[in-house]
Amino acid sequence: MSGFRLLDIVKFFLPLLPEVEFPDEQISFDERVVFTIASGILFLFGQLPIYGLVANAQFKIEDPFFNFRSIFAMEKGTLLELGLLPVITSAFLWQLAAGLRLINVNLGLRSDRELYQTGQKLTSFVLSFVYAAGFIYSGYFDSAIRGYDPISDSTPYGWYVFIFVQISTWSIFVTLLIEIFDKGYAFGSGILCFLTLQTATRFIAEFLGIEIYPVANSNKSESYGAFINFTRNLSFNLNSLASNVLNSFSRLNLPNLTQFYVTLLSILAVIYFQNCRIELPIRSTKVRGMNNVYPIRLLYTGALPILFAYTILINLQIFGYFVYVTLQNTKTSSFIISLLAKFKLDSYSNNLGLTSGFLYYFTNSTSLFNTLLSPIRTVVYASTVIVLSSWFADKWSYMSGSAPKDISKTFKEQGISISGKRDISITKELGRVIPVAAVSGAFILAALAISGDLLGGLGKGASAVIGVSSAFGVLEEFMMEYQQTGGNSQFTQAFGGL
Amino acid sequence: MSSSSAQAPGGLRSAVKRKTTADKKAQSGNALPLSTRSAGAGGSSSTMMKLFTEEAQGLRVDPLVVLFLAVGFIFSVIILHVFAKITGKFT
Repeated sequence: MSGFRLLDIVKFFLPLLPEVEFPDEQISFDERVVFTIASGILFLFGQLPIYGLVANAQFKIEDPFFNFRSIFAMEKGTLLELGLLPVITSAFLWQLAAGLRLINVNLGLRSDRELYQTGQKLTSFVLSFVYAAGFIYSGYFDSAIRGYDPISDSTPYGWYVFIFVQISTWSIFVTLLIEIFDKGYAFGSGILCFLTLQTATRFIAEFLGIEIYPVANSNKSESYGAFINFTRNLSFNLNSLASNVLNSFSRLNLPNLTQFYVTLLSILAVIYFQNCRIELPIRSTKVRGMNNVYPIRLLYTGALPILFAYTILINLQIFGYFVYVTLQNTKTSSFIISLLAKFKLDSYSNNLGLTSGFLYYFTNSTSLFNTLLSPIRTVVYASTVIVLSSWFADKWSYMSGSAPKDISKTFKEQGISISGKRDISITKELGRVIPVAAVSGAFILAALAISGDLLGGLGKGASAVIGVSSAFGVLEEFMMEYQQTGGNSQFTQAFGGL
Repeated sequence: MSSSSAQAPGGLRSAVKRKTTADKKAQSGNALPLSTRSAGAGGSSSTMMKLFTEEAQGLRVDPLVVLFLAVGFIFSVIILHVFAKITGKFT
């Protein structure tokens, strides 16, 4: 072992970090349902507007991250401003670093595992401070702070502190809520459960939301839900009909129907692909005539490859934006800045859209028209997502504990063998199927997410892909637990007749 | 069979080949686990992203305490909003 390890830094913070206790006894099925629902509702409460911003701040904030925010549950102008981004980023950082042996950690040791886990938590806290400070530094909230005029007033440090405390504290709470899930108090993994919840609630709200909001920089107002807005504007005046239909499919300030259809199609496609699998015939080595099948799913790594690809992209965008603002503040020559990025404010939606520069090539487009107009960006963006997710799927299928080697080990323990194959060649046989399934599954999902993006889904398609396949994972765990309780649950007895 | 170069029935013919396969086997057997799940503990599986599955030292809190603190935080923000509304009415 070398003299210095990254984990030793973590040790210093160990007594300071909150740690959810492990359950003393087996958590009952009912308790897990209650914990799941309670934490889910609490998570959604995070959509409370930040104190210190003006009313309807989400339309006034000039938003450079609108392309990807829906994937990470980043709600503009609310406590969930950072969403799940810090946790997801830190999780991928640590788990890939361990899996690719970039850090010195022996996960076979319990003490190292504890430090490794605390390291993930610490990183997620630190990242949320960094993001929150970066957002404030870059003047992200400036156009929405209550009673503050960026031109005439001095810097509103008081409000900055208020905003920083609110979003970073809520980010810490989200991390702890995720820990409640992961420690076995609730179903599934916290991150995926929250992503599913967010996607599901957003999907309905964006279709049927009846709130009416004023359109920025105009005297009109529109409904939140895409469908409600469409029907509200429906008239039999032929002149306005065409423009109203076009508007409900292409508006960017509020959800539009294109995003809805992209989401819907992605959901259906993922449900279809979820059922694709290869069934390897297995037999028992102990009992004669015991035959069964061992399914290997096409989506072997689920939605994690897509999530990884988008995590990289959004971090690139966020830190790129921070660098962009820093360069501007330090009065660097505008040529260098324009190589990095060039933003243009859309006055209707207050989105800071990229128009050129390095960062531009790693964003999705707002409509099919824009996609066709900039083919280089389309190709670069699509290939980035596909390469990142395929690479991740390949690595992840080997290091997630469901690698061919691990499965053949469990086969051996349980006295199972693949029919017509010798015990030794099980690993080889599985190694022929699993990586291929993982990579092609990730490729299909990435292609699905990208095609949604190219049609103007603005990450909604990708978030639907992630949400649905996560929901399947959570549901699987739920059903397994349910069957093990043998229907011995108060909830089943109460709702059984429904 | 005391000599290491003795040929096992059905095994590889040359001693060099036998040594490399034995080395490979030893290496893969002694390799450190790549993730917490392959180490035999809980953690991320192929489709699930799990972070906190180990009982670590630290400031122990009950999950209910976390939930109540989160509710408390939400309420404090709501109260700030309400105060802002009320004071805004009078000034």
